[in-house]
Amino acid sequence: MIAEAPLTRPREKKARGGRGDRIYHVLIKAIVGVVLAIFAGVFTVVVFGAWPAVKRFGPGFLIHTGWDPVHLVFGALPFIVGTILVAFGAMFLAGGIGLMTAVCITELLPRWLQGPVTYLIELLAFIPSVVYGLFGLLVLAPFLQETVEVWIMEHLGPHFEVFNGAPYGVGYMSAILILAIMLLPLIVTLSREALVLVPRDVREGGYALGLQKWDVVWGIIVPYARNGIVGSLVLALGRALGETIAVAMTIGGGYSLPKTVMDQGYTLASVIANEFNEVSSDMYLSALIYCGLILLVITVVVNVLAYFLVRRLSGAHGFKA
Amino acid sequence: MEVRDTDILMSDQSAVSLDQAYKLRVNGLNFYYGSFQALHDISVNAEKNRITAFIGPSGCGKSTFLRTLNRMHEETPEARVEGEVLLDGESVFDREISELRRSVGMVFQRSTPFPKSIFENIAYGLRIRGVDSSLISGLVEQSLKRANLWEEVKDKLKKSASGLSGGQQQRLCIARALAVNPEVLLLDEPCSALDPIGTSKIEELLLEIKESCTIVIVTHNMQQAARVSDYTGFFLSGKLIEFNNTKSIFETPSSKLTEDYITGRFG
Ligand SMILES: Nc1ncnc2c1ncn2[C@@H]1O[C@H](COP(=O)(O)OP(=O)(O)OP(=O)(O)O)[C@@H](O)[C@H]1O
Ligand SMILES: [Mg+2]
Repeated sequence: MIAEAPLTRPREKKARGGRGDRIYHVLIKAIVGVVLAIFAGVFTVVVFGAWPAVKRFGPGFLIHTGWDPVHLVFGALPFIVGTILVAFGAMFLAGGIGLMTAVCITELLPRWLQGPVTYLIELLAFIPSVVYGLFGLLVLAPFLQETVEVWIMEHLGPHFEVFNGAPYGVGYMSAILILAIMLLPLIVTLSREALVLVPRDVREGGYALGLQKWDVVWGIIVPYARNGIVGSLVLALGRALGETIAVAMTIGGGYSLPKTVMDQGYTLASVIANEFNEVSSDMYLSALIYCGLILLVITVVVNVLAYFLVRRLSGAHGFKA
Repeated sequence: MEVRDTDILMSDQSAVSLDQAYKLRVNGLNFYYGSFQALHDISVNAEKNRITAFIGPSGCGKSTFLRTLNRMHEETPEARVEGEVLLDGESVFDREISELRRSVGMVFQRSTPFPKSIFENIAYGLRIRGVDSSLISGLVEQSLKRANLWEEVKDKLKKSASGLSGGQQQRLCIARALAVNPEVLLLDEPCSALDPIGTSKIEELLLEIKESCTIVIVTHNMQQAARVSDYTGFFLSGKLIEFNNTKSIFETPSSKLTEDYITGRFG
């Protein structure tokens, strides 16, 4: 009896471990399969829906301007440009401010304040997009219209063509600002997490050389955390490209290429959302789905590029954290 | 050499000669993390161009002590110090902090290369310090040579420092500290993550750099203290139990506690 126990126990354990392993493998494979199937399904549906428009307009759809549902002339260039402008404009603001904020939280705030401040910023992420849209439409846009945009028009307009627009309130500027506010919590919380993971010894290694806080933060801590920071920016960019309702509510709507920051226009996502209910013909619907296809491709390409960027950063020339 | 309380009541003249003999002098040092007192009335001196080692069981305050010498404790919120720490007779608390830390370099337990190339790991601090860029590559080479690392890395200076072995990373950190020509080098358990070969390379290196530098090393490896140091201090629960030349500490310890520790009866 006594001798038996140690003999049987390891065998039992091993068998259980083996079965657990197998279940785990099957599960992972199943999940991967389901994800790929969903993705392929979505892609197929979108391609099918877009097919009439793809056949009729071809790749010219991407570089043509003009959106005329009556004569069925469609070109998505203004929306592609709008998508890129809004997404990168918002990323520029939110990326800069978000990283600064994350650095301030981890490196400047006393420890007892770090938690509450982070939590407050995280709260911003729980607000639904449509509420951001309402806020943009009802509060931010009128405010911009009466103050900032008037000032820009009067003072910068005469000198710079990009500022020489009419203060509509809703338009690119409102959309970019609202989107930036929405991206901020994502960037702050994820890059903060990357920053707090930097080991104490790395931090102190810098201070021990007599470096000032600024040099330690930007020369050592931020580079050490760069994978996580780039990851947070990539996630935010994905969100920025696809954000629909808040942008649709604040960008004003318009079918021509933007000339100034105060113009009204559409992104690929917002044109679909706003025009979908008004489709008057199958070709119109197909053209909107073609816009969806372009957005899907842009998002996939951006994510693949980001994947390689992160890999490069952590590869031979980078630093394995 | 140990300083007894009577030595503190000395004339001005003897204070001057103490400053000449001792690079670092610590008098009546108390250290608090909030309300917890981690060091109790520590008085000790470190002689110039010698290796002074501090041993003691985990949690006895060795790192805490070492970190007060270059005011690293100021990076810890809640930390508070009472007492004197003199570098060349001048209180470290009166020195400009980044200048102090260049004079008193520090190497940590876990090697901490920056997320940069091998070259940049050393060049970064120099550049920030305003060293002329034409001198930097010469200084990098010189410090890598002083740290006995040059031969191993000279062909891959542009590669990431994270590709180095643990021992090489630790020597890189020593090279980084040496690049600014410190007068004192503090090392906090620099070999605890290294294999015997890596350890003996660091020990050889310390014996070489003590020619130009005063070294204070914390270790919980007693053989290491015995092998490399000239003076050894034994810490126990925040108190410096005994301080003497290394031979005496290991052969004829005057305290029963020290004897118990070095003969492995506890710790
Ligand atoms: N940041 C801190 N806040 C509060 N207490 C601390 C802090 N750092 C260390 N202590 C306490 O101070 C005492 C001394 O710690 P210290 O790190 O100096 O020990 P040590 O001798 O270096 O130990 P080890 O050999 O494990 O490194 C310990 O009781 C420890 O718990
Ligand atoms: Mg320690």
